[in-house]
Amino acid sequence: MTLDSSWHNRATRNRSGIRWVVAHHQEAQALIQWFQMKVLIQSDPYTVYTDDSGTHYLILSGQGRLAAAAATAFLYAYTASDRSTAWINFGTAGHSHLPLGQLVLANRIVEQQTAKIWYPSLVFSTTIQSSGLICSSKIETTYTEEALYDMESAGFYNSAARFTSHELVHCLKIVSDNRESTASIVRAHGVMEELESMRPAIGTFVDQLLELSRQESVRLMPPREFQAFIQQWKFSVTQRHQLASLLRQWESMAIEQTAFSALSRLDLSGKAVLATLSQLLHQHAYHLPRP
Amino acid sequence: MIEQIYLETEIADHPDAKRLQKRFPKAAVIPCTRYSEVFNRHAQNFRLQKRKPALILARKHVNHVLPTPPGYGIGGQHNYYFSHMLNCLYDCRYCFLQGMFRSANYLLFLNFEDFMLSIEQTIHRHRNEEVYFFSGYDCDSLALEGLTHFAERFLPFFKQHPQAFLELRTKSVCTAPFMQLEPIANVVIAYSLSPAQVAIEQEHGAPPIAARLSAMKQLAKMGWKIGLRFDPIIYHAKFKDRYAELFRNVFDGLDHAAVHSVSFGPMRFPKPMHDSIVKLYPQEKLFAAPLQLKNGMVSYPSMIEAEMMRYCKQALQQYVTADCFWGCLPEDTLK
Repeated sequence: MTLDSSWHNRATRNRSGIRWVVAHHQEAQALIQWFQMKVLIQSDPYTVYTDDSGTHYLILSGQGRLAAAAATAFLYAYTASDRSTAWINFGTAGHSHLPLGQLVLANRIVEQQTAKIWYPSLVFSTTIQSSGLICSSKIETTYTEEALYDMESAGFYNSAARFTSHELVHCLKIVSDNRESTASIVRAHGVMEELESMRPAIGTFVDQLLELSRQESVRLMPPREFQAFIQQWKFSVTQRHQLASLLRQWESMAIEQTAFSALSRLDLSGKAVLATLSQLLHQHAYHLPRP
Repeated sequence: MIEQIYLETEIADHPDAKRLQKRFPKAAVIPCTRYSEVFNRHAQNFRLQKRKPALILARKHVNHVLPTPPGYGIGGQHNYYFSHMLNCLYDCRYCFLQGMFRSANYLLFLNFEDFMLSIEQTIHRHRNEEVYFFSGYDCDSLALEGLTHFAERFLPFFKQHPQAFLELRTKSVCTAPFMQLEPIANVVIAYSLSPAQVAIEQEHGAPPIAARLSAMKQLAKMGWKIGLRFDPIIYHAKFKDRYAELFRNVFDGLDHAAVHSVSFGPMRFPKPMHDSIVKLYPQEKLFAAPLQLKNGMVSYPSMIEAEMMRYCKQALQQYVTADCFWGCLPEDTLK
């Protein structure tokens, strides 16, 4: 395994962002170029790319839903992702009649083998057309339903939706085959080479998803003074939750003095710190913020 | 603007399903077998969904009409509620819906005829007695009237059943369904009202108080019965001044005879709902208020609660007699 530890540090630092799961290098090339990603791990066990800021990570999963599920889980653990991290499965797909090269967002994913269904939740506007997506275990050639066909989405989605909410998990597909032009590697490569025209639509989609991810990251962030408190005093796990809650209240109340400075000189147990903090909070008049 | 419609296959041929698809021709229509696949699933983020809710069109199979929680009412012996829709156009930070439902999508039950049948059956069970039906418990009764046509359909229905009262609870300024009709004696249009500053800060997306009051007074002038709902009352350092100002504005130019009932109650949540909402909005100042857990409910400390209730009751008695005060507050603080 080729592993640059400084890159790994960056990975663990930036939990918001997008994790891309792509089956083949050919499908990933445009993304790697647009987001200026470099190789982070080479081939063992996966090839993973990332950008300088650690906003984007991309893993080459290989073909099939099990491979996609495993790669998604690996990327989650490797990049120390959390519930604010967004996930995209990107790649080619077949469709009964949509033209080759059409960019499509999945709004319903059906695992053909099990009939299990997932519904990605779109919470922003996009110009990208949406469609159902059927994940089959073999290359589709009959296109019986008016839907996209691929081989990875169900594995990816099932895995990624365990790590975050449905609003942050999406499948973006480029139509590479249809009833008129059945699947072939050459055709899929040709479609991916013409991705440049879709860059604005994909870019806008990615920006909006990133914004959601950032907002979630802020929501999940511990209060500003939390670290200082747990370094100074001992708290049980339950007490840490109570502390976080009280410190958030302190922040919300916009009290001028920091909570830490109000207590730092006191030699208290964790329990007493919580009680004192609570008392101090209740001494402040509760004003609504100004409109 | 609705951009995604989840459509139960069972109800796909319902005329309103077709009407709503026509209304949003650009919306992606996503089939589902049961609404619960989308609405009740795990790992949904209510806060994110609230940015752009989808519309779910479904059939409600059971429990069309349910008894209200104990103590909830506006003077009737028999109180029931029904919800043609789950979730609300507005995004009020104190709303319990955000802690109750996993999804913020608008779930609209299209089978109004089944609700009406259940209401009729309930009325029959209480033959010769007044029965109260509350709408607006799980949604705003009128905010999405343009889509749902709920009031348009239910007003004539309740007109045929004079012993059954309908309360439509709303923050909207929708008056259209009432303008075309003669006032119906057994229909109460109940407005949820807060001081202007509280509304601006906490009732995101809801019409300004001045607009609500204007719509309310217009309907009162026409002869419709009005309910005044000061619930929840939000505690803050200037609450007395602000609620006094609100009451002045409410009753200024309002024919007092049009007021059917007044209810008021302090902000409170069942603990699991409170915890869910705080997780969604951990930085929200509303929840930094001095709240306490009492008997499974998170609410203001008893002293603050009692002070708010006493003050509001006293202030409201300048305008209306105490016999039209109802519900929404702990019994002991009313007395």
